[in-house]
Amino acid sequence: MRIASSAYTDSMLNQFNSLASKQYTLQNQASTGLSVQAPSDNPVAMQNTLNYLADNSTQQQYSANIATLQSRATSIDGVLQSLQTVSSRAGEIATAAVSSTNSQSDLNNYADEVNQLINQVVSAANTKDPSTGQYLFGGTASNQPPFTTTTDASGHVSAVTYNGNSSVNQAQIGTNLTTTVDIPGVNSGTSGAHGLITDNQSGADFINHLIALRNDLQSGTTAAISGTDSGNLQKDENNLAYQVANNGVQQNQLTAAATLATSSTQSLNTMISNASSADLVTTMMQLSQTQTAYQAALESGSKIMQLSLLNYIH
Amino acid sequence: MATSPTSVSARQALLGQAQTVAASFNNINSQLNSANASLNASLGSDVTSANQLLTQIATLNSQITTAQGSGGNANDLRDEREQDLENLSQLTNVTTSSGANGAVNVTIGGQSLVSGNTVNDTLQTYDPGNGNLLVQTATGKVNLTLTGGSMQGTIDARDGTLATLQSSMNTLASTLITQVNNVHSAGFGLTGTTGNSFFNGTNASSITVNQALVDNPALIQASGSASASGDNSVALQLAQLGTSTQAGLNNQTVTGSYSSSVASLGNALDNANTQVSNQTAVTNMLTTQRGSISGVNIDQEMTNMMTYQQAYQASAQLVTTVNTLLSDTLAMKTS
Repeated sequence: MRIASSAYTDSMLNQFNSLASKQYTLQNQASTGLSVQAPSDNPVAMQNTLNYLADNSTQQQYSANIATLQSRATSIDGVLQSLQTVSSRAGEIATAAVSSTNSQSDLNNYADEVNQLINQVVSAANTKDPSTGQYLFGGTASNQPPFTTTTDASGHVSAVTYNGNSSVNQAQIGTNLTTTVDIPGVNSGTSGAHGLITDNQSGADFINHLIALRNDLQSGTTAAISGTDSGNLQKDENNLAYQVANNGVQQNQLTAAATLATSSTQSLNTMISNASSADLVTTMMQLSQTQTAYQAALESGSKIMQLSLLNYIH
Repeated sequence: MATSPTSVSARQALLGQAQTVAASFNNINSQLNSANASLNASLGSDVTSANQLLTQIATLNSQITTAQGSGGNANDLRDEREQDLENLSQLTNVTTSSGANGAVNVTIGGQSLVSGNTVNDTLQTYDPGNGNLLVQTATGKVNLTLTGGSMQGTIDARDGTLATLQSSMNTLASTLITQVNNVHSAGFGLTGTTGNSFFNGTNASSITVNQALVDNPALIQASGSASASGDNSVALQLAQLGTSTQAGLNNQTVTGSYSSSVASLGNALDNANTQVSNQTAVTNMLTTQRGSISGVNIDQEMTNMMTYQQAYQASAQLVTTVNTLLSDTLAMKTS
């Protein structure tokens, strides 16, 4: 085919532009480590990357939620253990008090100790979450002390009032997975989370049972102590044992969810890397090939464009 | 915030993120509007260029007709007119026909704009009512349906990909506003307030976070109960909106819809780049083919020149020989 002289320059310019553009793209990929820098580079990879990034962000939020709940569960566990200690001591007093060798003075001493135990329980039930400053056992009405006390003339607790509610917050710790570690102070209903101090489902009513024990000790009513009071304290003990076990189950669930979230994050990071990261070996090979082609085009172009019949006419 | 519904710092963090989302929507919308304005300006510029070319073609028609009418050669003028027609063809699809005495008539969109030496009509842009300019004839006011060139390319890009993306962003923003507000307005703030919206606005251009919440984060209605500020049920519902599908977004999640819009744009760009590459290859091939017929090949021209030079030299040599013969003959007679 007859080739116009201008065709050489047009063709060369097109080739230079094409190769320079390819070099630019490959050099960008090599220097940034990313094979997808704009949606048009690879629309499917870009869409996948955006979805993975969104999923990754969600998983990281799950991890943060889990960490918050674990911290709260640990705080609750500390309170439960102290209440178990109180419950255990109250049971010991109830058992020891019914001995026939006890005088009324001895019973009064036990009553004084029970007063101390009541104060400990009220204090524990009004514990705040150190991370949020909210009360742990007020249900969702957590901005005020859940338990307020009424005292008699001698300054001893004669009654308690619960200011919270029986609701608990759920928090999301996985896809379609929510959980709660919260315990309401009181649940007088027949369903829902068991109350820490008073719970209709288990029959627990820890503070009032302690008050009854103290009153019976003060009045020397040992029959009531060995009967009603001991039975009631056992219900409180059982309720606390349930709460401890439940807290353990929830902490295990949180640990499993944390492992899953971490694993998901790692998988997503790998998928993001696979979708959008440049394979450096392949990229450098392609860059090298393109550079060679560009050099060859420049050299052959400069030689061909210099030559015509004019060079040989003298 | 679902794990710490009463925490002011968690509320401020939420507001900060929401403001970033709203500002991003505003920014994207602003950039898309700029792109739209730029394409409108580009269309206007193309129309101005086309009108100049139409005038030049009519003028060249006149010069060519005059030159050829007086027996002259108008090759340079024809080349110039050819270049103008090529430039006009880049702007829009042009139909040409041969007129009298070498003139060329030009028709665009079925309208005869150059007839011989006369420019019958020119082009202008007009607003059909939505701010997206189109093209019509300036005098006849005939709306043109263009079929190619940068003018129609500009219109297609503006009314196609760009409009689709703008619509997607507006749908995404309005769905987000509606869904978040529906959940949020039913909740209760730390002080028991209710009914406040979380976002104001209706689309990507107008979305903002309710300033009252920004000024007082306690007004964020995270609780499902007026009497329990520590309740998180509304915050939990808001968080779950992120992973729930929305009917208004073709049953995609908010983030899924966004990534889908980005991928659609990427596909459109990828297709456009591929088409540009293919069309450039076709154009180069055709240019080379045309060059093989009408272009100058220096080797060929030099070869032809040498042939004629040699023929000239041979003729001159013949004349010299004949002259010598005649001279010798005359010399014989006189001697």
